[in-house]
Amino acid sequence: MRPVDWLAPYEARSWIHRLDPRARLIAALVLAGAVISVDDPASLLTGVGMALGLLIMARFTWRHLWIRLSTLAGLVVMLALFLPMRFHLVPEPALTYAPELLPEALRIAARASAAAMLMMALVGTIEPTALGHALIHLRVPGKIVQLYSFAIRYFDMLRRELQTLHTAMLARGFRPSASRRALIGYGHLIGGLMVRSLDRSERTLRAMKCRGYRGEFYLFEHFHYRTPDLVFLGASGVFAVALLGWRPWG
Amino acid sequence: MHLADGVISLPVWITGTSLAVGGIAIGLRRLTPEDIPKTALMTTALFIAALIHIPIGPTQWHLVLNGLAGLLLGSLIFPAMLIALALQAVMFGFGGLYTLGVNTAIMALPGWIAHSLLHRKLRGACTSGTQTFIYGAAAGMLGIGGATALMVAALRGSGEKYESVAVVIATANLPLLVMEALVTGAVIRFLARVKPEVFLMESDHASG
Repeated sequence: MRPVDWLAPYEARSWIHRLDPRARLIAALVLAGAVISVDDPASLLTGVGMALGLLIMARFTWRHLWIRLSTLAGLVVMLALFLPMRFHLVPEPALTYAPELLPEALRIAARASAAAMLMMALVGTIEPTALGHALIHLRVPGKIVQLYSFAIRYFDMLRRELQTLHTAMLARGFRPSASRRALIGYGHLIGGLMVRSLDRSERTLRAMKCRGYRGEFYLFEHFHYRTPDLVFLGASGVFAVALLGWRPWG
Repeated sequence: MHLADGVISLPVWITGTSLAVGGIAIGLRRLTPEDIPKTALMTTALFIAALIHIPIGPTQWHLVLNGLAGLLLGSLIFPAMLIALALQAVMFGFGGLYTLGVNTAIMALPGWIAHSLLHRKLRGACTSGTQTFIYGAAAGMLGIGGATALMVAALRGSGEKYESVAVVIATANLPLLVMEALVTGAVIRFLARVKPEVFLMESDHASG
């Protein structure tokens, strides 16, 4: 399993972390929307630079930055390698590489990386429970937010359950591999996890009913926009418009 | 493997997103407050199960489990996949913000189809272990096969230029087809033996 110390990005402190979660979400949507709509190299480079700048200012640890950026690097390499490739079966099977398609591959990679970095810097820094609250405030259906909040709440617990079951299997001589036998073993592991999660959900529901649960999601804390949030939102809007309208040679 | 932002074209984006929104609306209408903890915990468990890395030679593969999710959740797979993809995006930074809907549709639709084809068969009390395994394996294959087909369709629909990328993705998913079939078959056989009431949820909904 991938080592997840997934709380670390929210514990960092930067000016981005202090912004209102709603402002960060909206700004991420506006900025990413602008970046994925542009096509000329200058605007794309500006977009990537802006996203990278925000990511650096969000003060991720180098380890987290590396984990996240290495996935992006993989995407860029894959696009650059495979997009210009062409397979031919007629007249004879052949594999050709068309270098003239490389700029197009890089443009797509730039759009995808800029959008992903924006999301890491602006949405990835929102503490998970605060994100749930922000979504409620942005009129996302309450049921979706409840599902999300439950998932956040039980993620660690179920991960530990899985680890317990997995350790027990290893102790009984299970060898991780992709053999038929091992895959069926994985199936039983997942089945066991499903049973535990169902049992747990029944207990949770009973406990919630005892406390008067009727399907409502009550909010006791409300967000308030402050001046820095509005300034940031305004700046994001201006930047997005400038990016979309800026065509020095077109 | 999920579509990143800025890759697909606008018509494909609109199609995928509306399919996802429709599916999520159907799922949410069926989701009663009583079902929220159960659905949420099953979603989380499936998400965690998909984080298991299975070694093949020097590489590591992870399962998708959308066929399994479809069989267990029915139309609730739409909100479930949305949550799983959102968690993945928030926790690990994979997948896009704007492509959330398209990726949800790609993963959830085949699961839902597997459910409508196979779920009724699993409710029968007299199905043997081998039969349940086969139904599960079929759901696993449908899930991966369908998701791969939809992903390829989304890429091809976005332009000729993605032809080779689509071929690479389709080829890379072939081993996953076998792995998902075996794992999903084993999970379903296990659940039919240990907790057969999992498959009764659907009829509970229908009756009230």
